[in-house]
Amino acid sequence: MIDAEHLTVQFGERRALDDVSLHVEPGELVGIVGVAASGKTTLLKTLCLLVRPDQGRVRIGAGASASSMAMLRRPSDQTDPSDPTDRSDGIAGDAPDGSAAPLLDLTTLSARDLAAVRARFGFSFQNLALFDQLTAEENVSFALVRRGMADADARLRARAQLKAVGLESAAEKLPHELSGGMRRRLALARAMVARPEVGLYDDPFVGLDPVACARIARFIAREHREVGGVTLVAAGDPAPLFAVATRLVLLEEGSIAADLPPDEFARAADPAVARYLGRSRAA
Amino acid sequence: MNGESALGWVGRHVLGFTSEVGALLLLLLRVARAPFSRTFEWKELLRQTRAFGVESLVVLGSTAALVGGILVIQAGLYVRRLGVQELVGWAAGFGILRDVGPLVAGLVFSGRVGSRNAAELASMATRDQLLGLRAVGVDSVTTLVAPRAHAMVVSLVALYFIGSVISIATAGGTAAALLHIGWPDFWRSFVERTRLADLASGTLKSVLFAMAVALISCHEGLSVSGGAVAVGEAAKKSVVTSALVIVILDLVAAQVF
Repeated sequence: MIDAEHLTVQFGERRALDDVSLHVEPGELVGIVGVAASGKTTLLKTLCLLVRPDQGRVRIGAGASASSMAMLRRPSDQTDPSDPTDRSDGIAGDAPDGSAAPLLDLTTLSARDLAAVRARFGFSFQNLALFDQLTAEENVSFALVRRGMADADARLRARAQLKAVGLESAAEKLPHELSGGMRRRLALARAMVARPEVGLYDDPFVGLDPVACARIARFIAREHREVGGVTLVAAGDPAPLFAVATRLVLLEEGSIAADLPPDEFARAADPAVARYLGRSRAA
Repeated sequence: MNGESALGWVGRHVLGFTSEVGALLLLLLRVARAPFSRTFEWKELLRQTRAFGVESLVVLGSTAALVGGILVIQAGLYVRRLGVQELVGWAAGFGILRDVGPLVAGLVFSGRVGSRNAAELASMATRDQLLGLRAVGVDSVTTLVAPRAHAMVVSLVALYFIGSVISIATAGGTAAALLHIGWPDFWRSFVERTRLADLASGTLKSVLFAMAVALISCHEGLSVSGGAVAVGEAAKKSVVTSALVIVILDLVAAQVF
């Protein structure tokens, strides 16, 4: 579960997110849609605290709470002391109704604890952010090895993930030797290999033809079903998400303009959705 | 100043400067602590040392060879006039080991290695690769920046030694060719009058210059925002700032040791 409350992010004069609140339950696959510069990328980055909100907080379910809390308290060097998201050295958790599993407030975590919590996230970047000097297999196994998995095991798991995205024959290739679609699938494989509880995929369809988009959407949906966590997919074009999303959230100038199931969204009864779909189809 | 008051302009620049210096000092602290972390990338240190050192060897060796010859040619006029041939070996050794050697090595290094390092890090930053490291809970300074910074120190000190040997050799050759000072006389003058303190001073300067190039190039690379233009800008700023800082450090070091 992920729960964002009143998120506001300001970049200089520009307000990228304006009082955004979003609650996603386990098992939900949520599409975050909107035109360019509507705040989709900022929202995803803020949800995993790669961007620190100026206001608001992000909480995630403690998940396998015992292990995650233990993980948080385990000494680790995998931290970034200059991480601008670092604000405190405490671990915050609460049980709002006194009985539910405690929620972990990411905005109160230290860099060390945040680094540990990020193991529960999978993030694929809009511009891929693949490591140029590493092969496809090394790109995928990188995070596993850094988290302490034996090299051989990490490679096996990476191979399996590459096979799942149809890249098994490209395991030894460098990112620049792959096509745009293959690189995008590689980025997804890297984000998904650790079976993240929270998958955040930033516009995995950009630059791809409709067939490739549908293939990637099906792949994300399959992984989402298998892991059973929370998945958020940002997209400029909502079309690939209609068939797989639980609901679609429309962002407009940093605010949520609509939050609807895909069928209602497609009917465009809401004026903001109609406006957006009109623009999207025209584009 | 677009309507901004003079005081406001000064204040803004002072704040900007102190902010940059503060960021550099914090980076220095983290880089210095990094080798004690279990996640420090020793393999990356070796890889970068080889890359920085070997790649700079030809250009630095050529420059060092020319510098040795130039020093003797310039000294030649006075050597002949004053009849102090016995001092040529010492003068070349003193100048190369203590001052010209580390200075030339530092400046060549900042142009060759510092610019490349800043551009590489900036390119990674603009393509979200550094953010990608953070996304999987990996500290980019310990794994990426610190190994490069330490590799620069090791490389520049090694290049200083190699460059100094080449410079002194060409100085000796030039002295023999132009001033008719035999190699044994040149060598005797060098060995008898040059002190170990000259070598120590040059080594210390090399370490300081390498740290300056490392910190400035890493800082410029990491703090970039924008696209391809910003990458070029980071490389340019790294070279210009490093060169200025190296000369200032040389001036200060000349007074201190």
